[in-house]
Amino acid sequence: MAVAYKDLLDPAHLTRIENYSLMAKAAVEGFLSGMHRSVFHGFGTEFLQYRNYVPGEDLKYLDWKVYAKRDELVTKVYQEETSMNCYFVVDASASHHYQGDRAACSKLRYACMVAASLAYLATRQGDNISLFAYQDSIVEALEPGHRNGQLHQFLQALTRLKPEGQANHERLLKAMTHHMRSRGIVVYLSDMLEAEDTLPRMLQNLQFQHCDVLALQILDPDERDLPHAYPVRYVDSETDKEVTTFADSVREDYQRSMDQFMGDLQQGFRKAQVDFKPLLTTDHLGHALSQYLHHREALT
Amino acid sequence: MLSFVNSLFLLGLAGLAVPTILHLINRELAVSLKFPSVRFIDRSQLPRREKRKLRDLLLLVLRLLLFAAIVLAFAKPIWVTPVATVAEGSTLKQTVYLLDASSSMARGSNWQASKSALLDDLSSTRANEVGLVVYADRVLTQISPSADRNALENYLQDLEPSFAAGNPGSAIDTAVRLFNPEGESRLVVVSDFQETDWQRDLPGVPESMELVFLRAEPSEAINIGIVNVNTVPVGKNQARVLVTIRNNSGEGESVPVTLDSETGSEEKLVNVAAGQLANVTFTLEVNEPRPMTANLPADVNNRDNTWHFWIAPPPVVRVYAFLPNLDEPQAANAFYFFQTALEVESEADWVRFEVTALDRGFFESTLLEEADVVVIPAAGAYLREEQWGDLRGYLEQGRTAIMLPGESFPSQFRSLEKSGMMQSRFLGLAGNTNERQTPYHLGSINPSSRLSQTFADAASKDLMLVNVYRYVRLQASDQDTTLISFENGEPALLALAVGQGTLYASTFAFEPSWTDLPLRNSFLPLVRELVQEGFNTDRLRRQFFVEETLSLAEPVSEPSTFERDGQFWEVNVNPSESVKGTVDTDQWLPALLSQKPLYANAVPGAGTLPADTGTKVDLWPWLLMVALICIFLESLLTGIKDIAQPSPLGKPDPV
Repeated sequence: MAVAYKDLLDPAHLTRIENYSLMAKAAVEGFLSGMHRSVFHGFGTEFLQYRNYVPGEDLKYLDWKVYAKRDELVTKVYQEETSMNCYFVVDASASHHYQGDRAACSKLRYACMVAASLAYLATRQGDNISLFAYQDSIVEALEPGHRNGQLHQFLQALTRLKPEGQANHERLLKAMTHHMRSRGIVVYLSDMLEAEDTLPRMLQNLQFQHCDVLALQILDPDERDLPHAYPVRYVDSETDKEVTTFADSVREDYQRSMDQFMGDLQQGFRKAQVDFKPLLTTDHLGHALSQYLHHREALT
Repeated sequence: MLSFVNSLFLLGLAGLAVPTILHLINRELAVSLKFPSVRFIDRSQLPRREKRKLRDLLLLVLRLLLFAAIVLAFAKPIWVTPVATVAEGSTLKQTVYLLDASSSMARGSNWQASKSALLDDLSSTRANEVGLVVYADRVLTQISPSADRNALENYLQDLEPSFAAGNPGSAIDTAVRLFNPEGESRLVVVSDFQETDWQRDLPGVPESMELVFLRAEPSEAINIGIVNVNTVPVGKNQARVLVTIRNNSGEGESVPVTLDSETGSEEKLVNVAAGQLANVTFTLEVNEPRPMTANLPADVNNRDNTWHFWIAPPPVVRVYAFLPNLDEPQAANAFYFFQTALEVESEADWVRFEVTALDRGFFESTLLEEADVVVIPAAGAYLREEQWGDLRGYLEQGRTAIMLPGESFPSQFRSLEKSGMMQSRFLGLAGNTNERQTPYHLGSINPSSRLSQTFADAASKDLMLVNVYRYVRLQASDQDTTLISFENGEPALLALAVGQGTLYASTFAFEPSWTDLPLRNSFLPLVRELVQEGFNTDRLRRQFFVEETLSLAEPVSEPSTFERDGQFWEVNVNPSESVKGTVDTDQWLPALLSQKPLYANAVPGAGTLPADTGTKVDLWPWLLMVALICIFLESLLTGIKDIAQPSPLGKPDPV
């Protein structure tokens, strides 16, 4: 039986592929094969030449100035440029260990799958890829590069990640600022728990470094609705704080607080002009990929 | 009545504790869960889940029921419906009194109290007919149920307890058979329920029969009784008397034990702790058998205060040796060694040997009759043909003779062969007196003979070292028993069965020119054992308890001592009647009496048990049906539970 496009990007399907390289290839190629070829352009940013407009092409590539001057429709053609750096930042704190009954994988695994797929896509486009993984300090760091072994090193680093410790966002972002020397795009993957006040501002600082930031929030569905139907002693993964409760009794309050948290986060990122996309570990990887592509395209 | 074919399966019911404990534990525990953040999770009261509790409880009950039904089905329960014994609307009411008249009932006021209780019940019972069974070790009296109450009262008036021990088994059987199956039956047992009497194999009584126990309460007063008296001869004219007493009360006591006889009495004081035995020993001069009694001072139970016994000098075993020619040195030597070995006095032996030498003229049947054992040392050749006949006649009565070879051994063994007393074949002589350098040795003892017990293990080493310089070679026959054989397998000592008696034939003389055996330690036990091999020492003294069955002309109903046909008899009350412990008449005894097959169909006097005691119904199919219903209800309830809690994360059922 043929594998459907949406199945290729289903985490339940992809998580069965242990090897990140194969997984990323399967996801990205599957994703790209589902797109219309004609509308996909390279991400190069250097202008090459004009050519006549052919009906059906994206209007955003029309040169309106030429049209205003000469009353003819021409399209700009760019030469691909490979010097853009793509920084992947993965939060590997202990809270990412969680995997609810509905999810096929843990939050960290999902984050890694997203990072692997996007890195593969970026490499395919000729971009340099770089990785920062952190807990209370940086646990993996990979300088930007685009050589043949770069993707392999990137994926190997992802494989080594284990969810432990508390997330120290501030330390990471300070360290990153020192490392980033050229403009690029930052893909930030984290559950962003308990950081709605600080994260948008910190990521905004990266934009001041001429980096475009895409913040992807990874949550397990359980974190949204607290579905447990029996008395549970919840132990905080990062602080070991314990709360014994019966979810049925507190679910409404919890969901209200969670909505409030999500709302605050979205508002914070909007203010900071940082693109933000919440993802659940049950969501198709296509959401993340398309979000990235749109984002990348907007840079051109 | 419910019974189980495989009752061991019932142990499986203990497994019911497991789900119950799991239920109790799981209900109270919250599941621990590592969660990314507990920031927005509020603490809450544990849920009020009455509905769920009820459902859990129902589930638990259902599952317990399911488990129990399966276990019980494996145990294969059977319901036995007893055959109806009482006719509907019957007006016949019978009461039978089972009165214990064993010796223990004479203790204190037991007897009077028991009779009063019986008469009280007799006057107040609603029965139309009353009967009586009096028993001790057997049924002493039985009066069939009738309306005549006076007959019972008159009979009881002069009745006294017997001296016999109690055995209620046959009496219960008799009492049950006295009832008319058409009427209401009530069995009243009047006893002290002494455990030594009632802890026996008892027959059952029909379930429909009303059982009433009237107990004679045991007195707490001091009771010390004599348990046994044993006498052991010490030398020729003395005997040691060992009196064993038991203190059946709760406190230690110091009591005088007195030995009485016609010639006088002797007393010794002995301390005996509560519930313990104590011994006291007397040493008395004994010249002739005389009856004696051991006595204790009077107490609450006087029947165990006297013990009748005989004291007698050690019985004499008369050994007659045939010595026709005292000038023959070998025969004289053999006789000397034999006589010395037998006449050595030993405290360990219970008999005394008296060895007499007879010459040729005295060897005749009339004189032989007085002998317990006849020895023919190295003199077989001197026996004439008629004397062989006398010997044979003597042996056929069950007596014992010992024959040793002399210089004329060929004629001796040929005569044995010829007379048919020996089946083995005479082959000749092995060895001679001049070749002492190569002696023969004994090799083995027949394991089924008494000699093998005497010469067991280390004791046999000395016997095996005995040097035999020459011996008569025999080809052993299967019909003759070889008691001892040489290393080469040839017989050294034969036991020849003659009629009911035995002739022990040695193949070498107990004399220094044949062997060094008389000089060895083994000689004395060997000779004494040989003499006693066919001699029954039990016939000398017998002990009995009252009412034990004896083949005597008249029965013995009281403790006493008497002599009959040269036997000394001692008859006493069984010490088990002094035991104070009683059985439980509330639980144990009723259960014991009803657990045996019922006598429901027994016709009075018919004496046979019915083969079919009622209809049997197998219950296991019903239990399986219950189990299936439980499974259905359980799945129904679980289904409702799942609908009520649609969450995919519903925890596994805590039950």
